[in-house]
Amino acid sequence: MSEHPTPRGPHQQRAVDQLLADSGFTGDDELRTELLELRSLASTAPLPSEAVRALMAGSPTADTQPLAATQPLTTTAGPSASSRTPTSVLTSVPPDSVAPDTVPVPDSVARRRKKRRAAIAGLAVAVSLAGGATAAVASEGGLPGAFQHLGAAIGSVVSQLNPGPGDAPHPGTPAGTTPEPLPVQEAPQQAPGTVQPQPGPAETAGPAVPATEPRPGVGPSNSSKAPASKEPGKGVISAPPELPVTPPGTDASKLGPSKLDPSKLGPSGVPVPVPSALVPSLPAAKDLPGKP
Amino acid sequence: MLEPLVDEYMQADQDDPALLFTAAYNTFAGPVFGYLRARGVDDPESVTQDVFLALYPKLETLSGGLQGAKTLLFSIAHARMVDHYRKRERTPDSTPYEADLDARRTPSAEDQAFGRDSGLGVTEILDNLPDDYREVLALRVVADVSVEDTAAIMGKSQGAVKQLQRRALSALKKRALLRNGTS
Repeated sequence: MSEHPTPRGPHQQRAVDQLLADSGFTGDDELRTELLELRSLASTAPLPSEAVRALMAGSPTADTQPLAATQPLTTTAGPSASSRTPTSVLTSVPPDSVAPDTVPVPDSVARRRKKRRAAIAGLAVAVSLAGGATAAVASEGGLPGAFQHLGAAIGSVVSQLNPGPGDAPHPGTPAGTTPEPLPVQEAPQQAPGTVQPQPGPAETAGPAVPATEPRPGVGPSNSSKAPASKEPGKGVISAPPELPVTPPGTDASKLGPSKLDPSKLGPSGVPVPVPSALVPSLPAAKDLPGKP
Repeated sequence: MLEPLVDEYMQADQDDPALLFTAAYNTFAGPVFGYLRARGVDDPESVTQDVFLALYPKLETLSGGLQGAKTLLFSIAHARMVDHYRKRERTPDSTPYEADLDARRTPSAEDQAFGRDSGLGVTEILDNLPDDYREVLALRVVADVSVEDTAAIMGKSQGAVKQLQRRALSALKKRALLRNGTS
């Protein structure tokens, strides 16, 4: 912060002389010099800070007296004091002062403005809502239509926010009536990765023959089930994909004791290698040495 | 002592606190700043601003115009100075930076004008004086406060202030003689 010195005049010397005279030190030059040096401390004044300047420039009278703004007031017999006019008092900041937009606003004014802004915003929202409702009434042709439109709008918002099992009312349905549930195709839930047992040759061939896995999207079962489970917001929760718990080519339900009879199982068509010579034949007795 | 012009002006415009505040700042910012410097307050410039900011809310209930503002201003400044020393007592001691011992330093124009480069600054005139002496000299000489107001600020009687002032001046004279004899 910078400082600006105020002129040092005979007023200070008079005051020091009077002080010395009051205390009985009249004519003491050494003491007088010391006191004048001390008094010079008061001759330097700091420039006002932003906060102080705001209080000085914030008064409306500062704007009404622009000519008085640049003339400093001194208590000494300076040029401004000798002018003998009340306008010699500094009523605003010195030249390197604030711009008009940077003048801080008092707190009460700012609070009042904020309240007014909130009230205006609320009023604008209410007016726009009323206008929308009026337009809806005009377009739908009456109060029931407006209610229906409002219900549909609320339902769509709720369904957007909560896409769960609840069904949002559609604009086509009449207000106050429960919309009929849409027909949902009841099909056995099956994940594309589930292993299907192969009928026919796989059963007759036996467990040793590996069955071919069905590909997802191929076959009549997958194509008929897919659209019902993919519609959102219809209350149909798609089943999680089933994990294969049986080895490929076998069906657990068909491997139960009631369906599988070990006695009816026949040999499979797979050729089994038969060893040609399991036990080596003994040589003839006559060929043995030492036997007659 | 205030100029009659200022008194007349403030008598006419007492109702406007902003105008009174502006006049008070232009008139007493220097003495308040000098008082705080003489009392050794750290950062006297910002404390000066604080003193004036504390003055503003009280202007509406203030009586006496600019003279009343002066008394109130130095009461606030005195309180700030006391707060400063109390706060300093609670904080741990720190070694101050002594510019005179710094070889890198060159005296500023202000130092040269006040003769600080020759060894003794203006604020050091009051060093090593008792606290009461420093206070009465700062108020009476630097701030140019009257005996009555000085007594009110220091919480003493006018007679005690006059006596204290006499003793302080005697001590100051001894120091001046000692300094002139040694230098």
